[in-house]
Amino acid sequence: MTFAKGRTAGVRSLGLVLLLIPCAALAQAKVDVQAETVLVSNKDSTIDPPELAKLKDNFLKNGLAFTSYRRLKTAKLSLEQGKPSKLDLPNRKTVTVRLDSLKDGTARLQVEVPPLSQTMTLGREGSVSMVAGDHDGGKLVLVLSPASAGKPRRAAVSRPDTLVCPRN
Amino acid sequence: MAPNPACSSYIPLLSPFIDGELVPSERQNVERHLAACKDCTGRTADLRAESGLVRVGLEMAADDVDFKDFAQKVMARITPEKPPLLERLRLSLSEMFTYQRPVLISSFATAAALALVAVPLLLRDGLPMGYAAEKMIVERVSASEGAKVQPVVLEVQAGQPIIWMVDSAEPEPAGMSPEDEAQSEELDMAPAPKDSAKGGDAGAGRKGGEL
Repeated sequence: MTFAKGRTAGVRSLGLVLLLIPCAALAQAKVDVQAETVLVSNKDSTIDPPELAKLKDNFLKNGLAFTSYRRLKTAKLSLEQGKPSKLDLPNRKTVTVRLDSLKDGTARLQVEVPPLSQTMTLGREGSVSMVAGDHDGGKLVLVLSPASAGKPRRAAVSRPDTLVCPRN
Repeated sequence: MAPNPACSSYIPLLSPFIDGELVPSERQNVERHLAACKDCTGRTADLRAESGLVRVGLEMAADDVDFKDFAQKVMARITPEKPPLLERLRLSLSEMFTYQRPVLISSFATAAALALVAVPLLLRDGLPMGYAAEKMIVERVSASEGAKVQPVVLEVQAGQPIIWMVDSAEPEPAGMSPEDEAQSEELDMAPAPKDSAKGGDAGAGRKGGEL
């Protein structure tokens, strides 16, 4: 084979690489966020689902003494820069979530729940709860958390160390 | 008996003559001599008979030899010893870079392209995109202009902030400009410590919770 053929093949391959780099870059600029709509009230003492006990605990620590926590809706928002995601709430309000910036792997979001607007930084741990108005005798709360938070990982599943059989 | 002096120059040519190894001019000379010399004709006949006997003997000996796997045995004897692994590797690479350079360049480029695409995707599975920060942080909260509520950020537990609203009950001081009003409604959370209730009165938040 001649050197010219090798050069042609090299140029073609380089073109392929240059073509794929933007594709890879575009594939990166997408941030997933989990948005939960929770109705908190003092009507009863329902906690549905039981995972909301953590939210109740956090609310209590901050002096918000609600007794009922009900998850109404869960949505996974895929955010891209320049493309705001909208989420309709049961009280006819619309939440708008924008990916403000993505710098060094850290995403900054802008969340608008009329009349409030907030700018937040996403983190691997925790969640941000934001009141979103009145609804059905209580308050609607928008909880933003990491998208993978709802998926229990295999390593996180605990097993009993010993299996004890009941004696008759 | 001493040979005829004329025959002495032809006797060495008789064996090649029988084997057909003489050039045409020599062959013609030998044939001309044989036509005139009975001694050399006899010698030629003896040589032919001797040659036939040798041929038959060799054929009989060849029949006794086993030629099975003959080629493999010969090749095994003439093939040099296997070079060491590193030497063979070096030879293979050298031949590859010499004769298959375009294929090699294409392969490397394709592998690099695949790595450029695959590595970010794999890393993305390990750490979700956008979650390089450890905890959730509320940087800034504001209420829209004209809103009769004020935002309050409660954060007893780091990474678990709650943004609540309280009624802006306080009357506006006289002479307050709209710009001042906007500033008062806007809370810049970035420099504040994480582990305390920020941006407003925690008691006001408590009040909101006692609905």
